[in-house]
Amino acid sequence: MEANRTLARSRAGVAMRYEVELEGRTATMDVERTETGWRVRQDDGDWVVVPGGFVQPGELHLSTQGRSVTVGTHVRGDHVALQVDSQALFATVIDPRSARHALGGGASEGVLKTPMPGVVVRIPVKVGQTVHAGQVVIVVEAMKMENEFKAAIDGVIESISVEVGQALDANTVLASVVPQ
Amino acid sequence: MARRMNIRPFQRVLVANRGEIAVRIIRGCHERGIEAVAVYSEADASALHVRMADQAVCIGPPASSESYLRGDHLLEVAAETGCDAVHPGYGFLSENAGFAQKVIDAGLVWIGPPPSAIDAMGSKTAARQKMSGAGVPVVPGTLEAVHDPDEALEIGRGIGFPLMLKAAAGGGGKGMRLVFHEHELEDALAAARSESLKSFGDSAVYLERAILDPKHIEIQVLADAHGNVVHLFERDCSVQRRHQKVVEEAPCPILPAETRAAMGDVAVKAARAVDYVGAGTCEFLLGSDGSFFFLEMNTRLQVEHPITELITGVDLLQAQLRVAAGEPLWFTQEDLEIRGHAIECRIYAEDSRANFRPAPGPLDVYREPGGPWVRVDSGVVQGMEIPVHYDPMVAKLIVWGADRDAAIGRAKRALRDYRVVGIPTSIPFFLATFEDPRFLSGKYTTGFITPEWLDGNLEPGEEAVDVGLIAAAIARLEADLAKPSAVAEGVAESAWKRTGRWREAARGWR
Repeated sequence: MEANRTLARSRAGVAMRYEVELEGRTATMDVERTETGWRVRQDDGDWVVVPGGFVQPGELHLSTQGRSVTVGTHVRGDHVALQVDSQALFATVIDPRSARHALGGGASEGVLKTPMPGVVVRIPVKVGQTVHAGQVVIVVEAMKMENEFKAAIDGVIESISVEVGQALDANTVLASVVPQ
Repeated sequence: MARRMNIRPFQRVLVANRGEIAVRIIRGCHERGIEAVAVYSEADASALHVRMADQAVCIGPPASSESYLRGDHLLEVAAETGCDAVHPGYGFLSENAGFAQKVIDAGLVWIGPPPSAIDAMGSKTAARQKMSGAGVPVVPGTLEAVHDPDEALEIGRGIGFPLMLKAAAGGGGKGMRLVFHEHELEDALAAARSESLKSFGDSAVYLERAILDPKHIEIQVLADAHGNVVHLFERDCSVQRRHQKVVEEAPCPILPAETRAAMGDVAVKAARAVDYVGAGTCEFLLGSDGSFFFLEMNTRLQVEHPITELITGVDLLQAQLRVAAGEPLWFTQEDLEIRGHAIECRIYAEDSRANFRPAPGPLDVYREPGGPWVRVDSGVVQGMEIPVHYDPMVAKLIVWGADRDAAIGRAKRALRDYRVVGIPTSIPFFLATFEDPRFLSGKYTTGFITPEWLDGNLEPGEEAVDVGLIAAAIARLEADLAKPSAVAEGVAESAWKRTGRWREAARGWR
């Protein structure tokens, strides 16, 4: 198994530092492997030993804060999908050394993004048009349901980045509104 | 139950559906030694039903209208692969009398009711009239449009308040008004008529008695082609969002035995009235005063049929196959009884915290729970993408317990054991439901889910976020270390290596 061989050669005992954003909370996490699992430090506090291991790929077993929990994990670049206590949680985990993008940056409140994949069915506005907060800008259909994306602010449509019939991935920018 | 059917009713069945119901049908066929031919759209090429079938044929692009709804393609596939019967599942073409007739005209067996029965129940108004004539209680009201406020008041007094005004051409809640008192009727009628005109281009509005905060109860029926009809008791499907069921249980926890018997009789009567054959379901509204009214009959297998299977021991899919092959029912009403309690949770790819917004996406990690009396009907595998083109249901978790408490406890355990990473699911919603006093009392109604309830019950705890921060950092570390670029000289014992070694050892045992 190629993956296993690579893993076997990988290093231990080197702490990595990550900036983690989850459910509106941000933390600086230092983490390194130990013989029985990992040790972790949050926001430059005390190191805490976290015994555990992967039961199988994507299924992480941890003992922390007196609890023994199984957490589902999947890493895709800077995005880590989790399942903790049956809840789906989505974390952004950035290695500050290679941080090309800062946490929370980039997105202004006038930018409309779709959180889910879908197909654009209607665009009832045009570039340059004045809109008010709450006005429908783009309608995206996903799984037989129409989802209306509304302007968050009063302003003018600066750009529309999609067209009717276009299939969208999650997190696609749909349009942007600038204050007048 | 002495009669046994040892011959195969069919050689090869075309499974004209997708997802978990296609898998359910394929399994049922295989259990009887029947070959199953699957069809799939381009979006479903890696779906489980495609892999499980004996043959699978692509029938078109992702859109249902170009694939699963193309009756002509389905019939071509059936002919090319030498099928002798078609099972439509639910949804898609299952209640399309025209397609059913074409299947029959092609010399194939339609594993479902006769087209005439589908037709008779297809139109709400026509079904209402037919059922009314057969002595089945329907919600009292008019079917003709009411224009004049005085006329409305007179009719309204006859029906009894509270009243519901409904758009004759309507649906989706538009043109509907709830009227509690006589003096509100005139304004409400004007409002409903104008809304109806705007939404549907038709101002016709009719009156019905309002059944406030009802339970949605349905009765499973099974009929053969020889005039035998039985009912298999009820399912309580009152936990709904957007008028769609999300949790079902059988039996209904608060239904008096007399009401159960009365509803069962009515359902059998309804089935007889349309010469029904096969598995079907009569849906009722149950008022808080114990009165019940016929809503509609679903002329197909229901999504929630497994809970009935678990409390009666009758495999409804096998029954469909046998009845479609002409076999008479091998049991009578007297042979049937309710054993224990069963609950179904529909696991949807949706974000309950965002008012159940559909959330298609990748099933990065997917592991179904097991253990005694836990059944998962699903059509997915780890690594596949939940497509945006279809209903967001991923799977159905169905549990049985000796009593309701045992079933609820088992459902909670199985839900906690369910591993889904990559998309939000309705699992946290079910766990919150099974802690809710209204659900536990059994007295919940179709008004169970409210925006306030969703706001208050589905946020992850502080503790879960604490664990999540740690887990996210660990997962990212291990992913980074696994990258070739991260490989350094040090060779040390690692969690991954231990896992790898353990797997190697396990492989040696095979």
